[in-house]
Amino acid sequence: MVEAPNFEYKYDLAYRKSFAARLSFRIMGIAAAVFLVAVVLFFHFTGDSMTLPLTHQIVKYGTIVFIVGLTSLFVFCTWAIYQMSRPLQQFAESAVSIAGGNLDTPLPKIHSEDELLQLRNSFEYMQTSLKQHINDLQATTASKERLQSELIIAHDIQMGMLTTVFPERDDLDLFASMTPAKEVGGDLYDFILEDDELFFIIGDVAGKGVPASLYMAVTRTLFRHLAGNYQSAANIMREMNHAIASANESLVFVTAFVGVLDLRTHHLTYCNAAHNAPALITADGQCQLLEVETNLPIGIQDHYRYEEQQIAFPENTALLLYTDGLTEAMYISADGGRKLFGEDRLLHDLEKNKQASAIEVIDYLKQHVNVFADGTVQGDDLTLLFLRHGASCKNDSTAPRRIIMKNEMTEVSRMRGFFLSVCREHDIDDDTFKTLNLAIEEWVANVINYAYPKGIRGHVELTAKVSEGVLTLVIKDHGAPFDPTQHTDVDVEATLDERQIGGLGIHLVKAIMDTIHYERTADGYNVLTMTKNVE
Amino acid sequence: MNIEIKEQNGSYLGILTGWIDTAEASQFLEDLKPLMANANKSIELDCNQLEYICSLGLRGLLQLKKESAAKGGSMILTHVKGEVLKILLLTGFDRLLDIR
Repeated sequence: MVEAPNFEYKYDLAYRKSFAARLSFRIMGIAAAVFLVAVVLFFHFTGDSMTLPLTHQIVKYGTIVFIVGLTSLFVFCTWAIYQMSRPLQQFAESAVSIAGGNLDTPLPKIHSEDELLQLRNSFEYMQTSLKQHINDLQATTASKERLQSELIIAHDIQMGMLTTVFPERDDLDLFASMTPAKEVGGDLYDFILEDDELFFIIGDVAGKGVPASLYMAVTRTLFRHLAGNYQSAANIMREMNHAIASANESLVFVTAFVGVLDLRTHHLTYCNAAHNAPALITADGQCQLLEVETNLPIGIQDHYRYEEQQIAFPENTALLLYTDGLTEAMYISADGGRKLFGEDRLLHDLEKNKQASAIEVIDYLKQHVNVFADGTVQGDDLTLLFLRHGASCKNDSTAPRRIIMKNEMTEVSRMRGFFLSVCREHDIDDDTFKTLNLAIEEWVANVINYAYPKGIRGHVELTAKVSEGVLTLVIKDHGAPFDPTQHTDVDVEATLDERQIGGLGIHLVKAIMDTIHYERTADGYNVLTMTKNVE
Repeated sequence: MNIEIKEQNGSYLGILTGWIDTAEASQFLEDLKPLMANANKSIELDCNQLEYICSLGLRGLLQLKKESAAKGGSMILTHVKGEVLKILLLTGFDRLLDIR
């Protein structure tokens, strides 16, 4: 914060008077010098020839006239200078008042047409332009704030469109995430499970920000509507293209990949509209890019014939769909050198995570992109969708499980169901389940109630993992920072009168869990990691 | 969550059932109001069927206890067990509430 300079405006009367007096004395000095020169010249020219009494008289009266004249001159000068400097004093007062924010301060009236009038005109001009600037600034700030709050709402709506409830099936492990580079983004993903068929899409609208987000919403809605009715990947793509291309004056286009996975026949049909080729982990553990035909992006040419392809998708095959926010994630070094994340890094990461679950793969990639970028601001949205098909999907009991909740209190019951199934899976008894659920619920309720501003949609994410007898819970939200470890604990020994109502929730979380660790991440997340021995 | 309130000879019995979680806590506080209005009487809360209580629920109990103490009534909890008892111990509420 900048401190205001501390000085006083010295426009007071004494200062101005002394200024007038100083000027008067100067004028009097000049007058006295002129008089002395006159006396000397007088004696020089009259000499001794003059009679003494006359000379005496001249000197005597001359002195009286001189003193009276000098005094009158002093009074006159002081008065005149006072009169002249009065408007200056008023200007000084006005300037202080204007500087204090009162832009309508009246200016002194000037009747003469001299420099003072010029000064007054300049002051007047300053007042009107200051007023104009301040009005402009207020209007700009207000409209900026309005736009910003509308963008936040748009962000909520967009994030609310993305499906965050993932299928719970033994033969399918699916997880996805979208991270927009700005408030709103042009990436999309979606999936619908109908009977034993999984329809899924990933897409990237050309451009960024609000225009792209509008097309994102349209594309996602079209997919949702078409997926069940048009069965084949190429048909879905063709219909989406028809709907967008037939009314696309701004010529925005969308690259997309649509897949239809039949979980009974283990068969994948897909259609690629100029999107990045997804990465495939084959059943025998090969990591490679999926072979794709390049069709036109959606929205460019109506009635374009989209070609579809198919492959066998036996159990334990996995597919990673991504947008160029992954492969074109950039690192700019201090000397301006640029490096892209690229497909090789992606395939290498998959190689390392061949057996990992969908959540783990996506977390790993997002983390790796962050580390790779090392602070370089990402210009593009990052969207990832990972799916693995196979009976072995849910066998790995150490794989983390995750639920993404909205900031609505009803989500607490959905969370209870989720956590109960985690506990059942790990033979955690019902009493322990209740105690642990209370710790989670207290924290999640805190996030739901307080993390986001009123009326703003937000998310809270719970990840549970049991490994070597230790349950690890990670709760993540994008709301206001809140560190429970810095929170003063309630006094459980207080008497009834002293006992405060409130602060119990945090106390319960701390009392129930073995360890608690809080972190506020650089990208603005609260991450609370808690552990409990459950053996 | 359910709370059933019975009046007998001027004293009150509240039977708490099920889960008082954060989503239901505001309803619980609402349901406690008839007892709050009669805090000068003797009140018994039967927790035999109570399985779970969150901090907001505990606040409701504390408020009722404070009201009862202020108005010269009495408030006891009976049949507290399992998880609920554990939570009362963890929060020091066993010292504040009269648990029989």
